[in-house]
Amino acid sequence: MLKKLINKVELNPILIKETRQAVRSQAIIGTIILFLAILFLCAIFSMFTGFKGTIPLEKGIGKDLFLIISVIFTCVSNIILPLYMLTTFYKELQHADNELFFVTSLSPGQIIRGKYFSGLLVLTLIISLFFPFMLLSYFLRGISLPAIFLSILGISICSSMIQAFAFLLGALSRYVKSIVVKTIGIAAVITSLSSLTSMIWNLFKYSHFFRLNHSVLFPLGFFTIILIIFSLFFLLCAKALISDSMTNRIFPLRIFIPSGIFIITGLIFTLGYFMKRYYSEIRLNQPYEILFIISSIIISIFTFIGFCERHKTSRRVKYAIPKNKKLRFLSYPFYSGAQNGIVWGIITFSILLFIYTFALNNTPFVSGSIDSKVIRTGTVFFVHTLFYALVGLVIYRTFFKRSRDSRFTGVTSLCFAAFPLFLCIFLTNDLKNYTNKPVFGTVLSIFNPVIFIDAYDHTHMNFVLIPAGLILISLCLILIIVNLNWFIEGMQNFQPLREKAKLQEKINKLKRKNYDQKIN
Amino acid sequence: MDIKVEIKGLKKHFGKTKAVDNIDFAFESGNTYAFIGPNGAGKTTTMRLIATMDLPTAGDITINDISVFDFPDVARELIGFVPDALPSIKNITVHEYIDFFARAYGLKGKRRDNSVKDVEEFTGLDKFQDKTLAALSKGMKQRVCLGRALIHDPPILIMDEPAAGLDPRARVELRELIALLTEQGKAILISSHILTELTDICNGAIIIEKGKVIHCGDYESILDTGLSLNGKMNKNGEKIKITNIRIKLLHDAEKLVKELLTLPKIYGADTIKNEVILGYGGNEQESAELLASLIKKGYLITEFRKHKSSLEDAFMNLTKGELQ
Repeated sequence: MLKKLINKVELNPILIKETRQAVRSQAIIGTIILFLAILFLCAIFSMFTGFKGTIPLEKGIGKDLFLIISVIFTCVSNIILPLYMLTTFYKELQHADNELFFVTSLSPGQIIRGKYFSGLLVLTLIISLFFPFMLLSYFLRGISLPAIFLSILGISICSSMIQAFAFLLGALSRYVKSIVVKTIGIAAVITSLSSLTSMIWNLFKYSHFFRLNHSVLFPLGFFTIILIIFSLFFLLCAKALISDSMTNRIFPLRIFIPSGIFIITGLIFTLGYFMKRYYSEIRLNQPYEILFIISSIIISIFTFIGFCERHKTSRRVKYAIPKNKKLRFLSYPFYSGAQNGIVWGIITFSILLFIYTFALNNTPFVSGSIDSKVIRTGTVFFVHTLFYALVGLVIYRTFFKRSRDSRFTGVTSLCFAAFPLFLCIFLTNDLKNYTNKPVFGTVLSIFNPVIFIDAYDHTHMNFVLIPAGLILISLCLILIIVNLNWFIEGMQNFQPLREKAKLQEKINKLKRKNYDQKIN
Repeated sequence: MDIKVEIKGLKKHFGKTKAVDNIDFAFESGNTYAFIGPNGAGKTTTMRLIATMDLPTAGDITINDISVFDFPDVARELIGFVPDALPSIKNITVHEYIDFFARAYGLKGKRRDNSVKDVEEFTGLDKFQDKTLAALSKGMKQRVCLGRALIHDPPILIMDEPAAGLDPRARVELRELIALLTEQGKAILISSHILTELTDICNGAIIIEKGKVIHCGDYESILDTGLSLNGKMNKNGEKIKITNIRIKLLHDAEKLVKELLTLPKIYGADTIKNEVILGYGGNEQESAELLASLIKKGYLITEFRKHKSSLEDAFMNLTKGELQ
């Protein structure tokens, strides 16, 4: 019975292959052995110097040993392992070798999941190797068991996020030149490590970390949620990037990004509500404000990417469009396509703005009101992105549609966005000089969100910003009208394949024939 | 299962380079087609496109009217691809590697075990199954590539230079293996620079140069193109059947060519060292009389025989060897 069950459960093939490769990798095994040897020497040294009768908890030698173990563990799990994952993934995605992925019928989701879980499995193996030394530090006193477990948990979550980021970078290597990705990847991993290490050192500086209380658990819990969400986000992006471009690969991103944002918003507001009840003296609005800014940036970036998508819907996507009218209407923003991206961005941001400005502001969930500057900053950022992207779209559609790929929209938009900024810097070497002059200030504020946001500090600048804001919104509306025909055309083309049933029958026939032949 | 792979107006451009430029051809079950062309002709690019590993600039590839670009997942189940690159993974055994691909293609339980065993036996990898890929020779790695392409028993096989790096024995074995696969009813497209190898196993050929298909057809039609003068008409508008004749002589090859060109039914002549190749429109009796007359004229002929056109001749005749 058990054997039958085991036979029925099929493990992800990528998970098996990757784990096999990792445990045989000289880079992984060599590094672990080297660090374990160092730890072993440190442990022996601590044993000889540490035992001097009964030592109070705070003064135990175990604390120092644990610090060394943590740093080494962080190095292995946050640098070596993600770098190994990045290099193997990057190599497999290279032109000559990518048949490993794309020649089989494995889905992109299976590939990313398999690789990610393999990384977690190797991480578990590394933890099990380091754990005896960590336990030894507990016996040498100076650190509590919960603190040890929390450290392992914290470093592991960081490692899993960096690994997810490594997969995103690896997947990006399909589109960006290798040397650039390598440099960014290594720089990103090193930056992440240095910030993590400094964070851990800072935590250890405060003795209260060794006795857990709410002041430690709250930020730890908050960061854990954020890191998990980021990991999921990176993995989804990596999955989208390695998917066939003919498929609706944007679908999971457009579903999970708003869901993630709204779930976290809900969680933080709920948490804030309870915290406010018990700790009325704490001002808890900062997490909401950070979240609003991060969400605005994410939505803006993905709206921008949406503009650069294929203008023509592939047959594969059309094949997946629902036949039911209501369902089709609901699913429209979640399908790949430039028009769909605009709708998705505007709807998602509008809901976010509504939640923060009307639905939850001045309610028991928040302390007072959320800083209006934060709300305005996020909105300005989004509106400017929309403006640049719409301009890029008009330029692309008017002049470059035949000669260039749709991704050229993004390049045009970025050039358009960068030009006034560089012009200002070139002319004055100081952006703020222009904001003091009404006409220049107004004109530059239309083009540049930096000036717009910066000028909020000067109350007398309102007479510059109000016209600038109005002109910006008007320009956006004009650009929307200019693009209206194209937009309506895109909406009208969002129809399922007419010959879908016929095609479905052909596919089934082909699959069935292939299967029957193999059985025979 | 009858499978027809059709390539329709396929284009793949890399910047200004037109790697594949509007090509059309088709191949179906039970046939092995040679895909030949000079270096940089666009063979590998076309094969990668068929194997869904790249997207075209324009055009389509269909398997029984299903586009491989629209439904790559369906296509991948039907295609076995042997690339020109060897596996880069090193620290994994042959058995584990083949087993991985079996799992990746969704084979489960006993069926997977049997498939892995069969493929290892079929490709001669069973004796090396515990060796790591790093320890294998180039030829053995080539077999591993073939093994992984066959693991899901696909009805279509795309093989890019499968014989590269194989020793003579392995090449003979590969030929036998491909013949066996063709007998099983698979549609095979195979590229190789060793044209003599393809002659014995292919039913047809597609010749490509500078991204364009120069000729596509069954083997006989391809060989006909080797006789560059074929297709000439006589005065009555009938097609003349031209035989290539090879004459080897001790000297005076140039003089012989000049003389031959003045004779009737001689449609062309050329020299290669001390040999003369001529296109002759006469029958066997007339050939024999031609030989007798040449000997009478004092030419010291050591060899006089029909020259059978080969795939190499056809290739040399059709392509200009221009690189891009």
